[in-house]
Amino acid sequence: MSAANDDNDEELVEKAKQLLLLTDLVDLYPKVVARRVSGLVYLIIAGGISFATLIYMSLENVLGPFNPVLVNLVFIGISLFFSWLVAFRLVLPLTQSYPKEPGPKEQERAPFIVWGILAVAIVIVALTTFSTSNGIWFMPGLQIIMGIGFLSNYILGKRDVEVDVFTREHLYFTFVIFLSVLPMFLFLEFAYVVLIVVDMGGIYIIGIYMLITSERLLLESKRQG
Amino acid sequence: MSLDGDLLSSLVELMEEDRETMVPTRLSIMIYLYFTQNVNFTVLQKKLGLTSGNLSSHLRKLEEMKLIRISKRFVELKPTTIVVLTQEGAAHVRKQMLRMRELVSKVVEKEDSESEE
Repeated sequence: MSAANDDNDEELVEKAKQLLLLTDLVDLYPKVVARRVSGLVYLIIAGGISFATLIYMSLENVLGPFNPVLVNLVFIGISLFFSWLVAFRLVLPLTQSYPKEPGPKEQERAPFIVWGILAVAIVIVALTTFSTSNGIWFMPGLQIIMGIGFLSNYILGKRDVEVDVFTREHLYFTFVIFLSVLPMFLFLEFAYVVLIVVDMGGIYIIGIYMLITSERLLLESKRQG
Repeated sequence: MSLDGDLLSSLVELMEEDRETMVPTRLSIMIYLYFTQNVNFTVLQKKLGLTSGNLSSHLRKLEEMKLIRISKRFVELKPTTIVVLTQEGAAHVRKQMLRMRELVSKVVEKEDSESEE
């Protein structure tokens, strides 16, 4: 009788553990979706910038060279607008079905404030370098600003428990961006090539990596179940 | 109390708290939708092995509670019923499952510590 009871208890514990595993999956799934959508957003941003580059190069071939300050500012503006339009208006709402833990307002605003300041810095660097015939220094300057931006993403993400799943990639990307500044300074005339390869390549890689590893988060649930 | 008694009383406690959705079929519908966001009526019927009348009545109840949204549209010229989980529905599933985890893990931990002794 006692052996039969033990068997029954073991079976119940097993079922209870399976139930715990299911509850963990439910708990973690919004993070999986959020990570998958972030990967998509990165791919769309990279796609937007690639599209803007293609348009710019085609127009330059047809109409001849443009004013470099305007070109850089309009180019960045179009890329960001296109990325914002597609990524934030069309893709991000996909995650809104899942409940989100409300965080402090300052914490939510911080990335917008940091990237707003960095956008102003990009404009200032563009204006100062091109207006003083030092346009060749714009690309390394832009790269340093990008490095600071991704470093801030890492630090802000680390502070927020809800988005800690996004941060590691940003740290690796920051290292690569800062390392690429050295060859940019050494070969200033090829700086734009380094910037395109590192930044665009990096954003594409982060996007694809986030997409394909999103479901790995579910493996964490085995710790509790 | 024995393990099955503990587990049962925990689950009964949970069912007492929420009689409307802590019904196995409704819970299965909600959890399935939690992972898929939306589903075709026929697919859901096959997955859960329910009759269309039975599934309809559960879906109607969940829709009344604003946990799901039901819409009809044409897919390849055939009228199709689509069931979509609402934001309230997702929050409800998550809340229920976390509550369930809290109760069941207490029972499992108790059993583990007793078996160690």
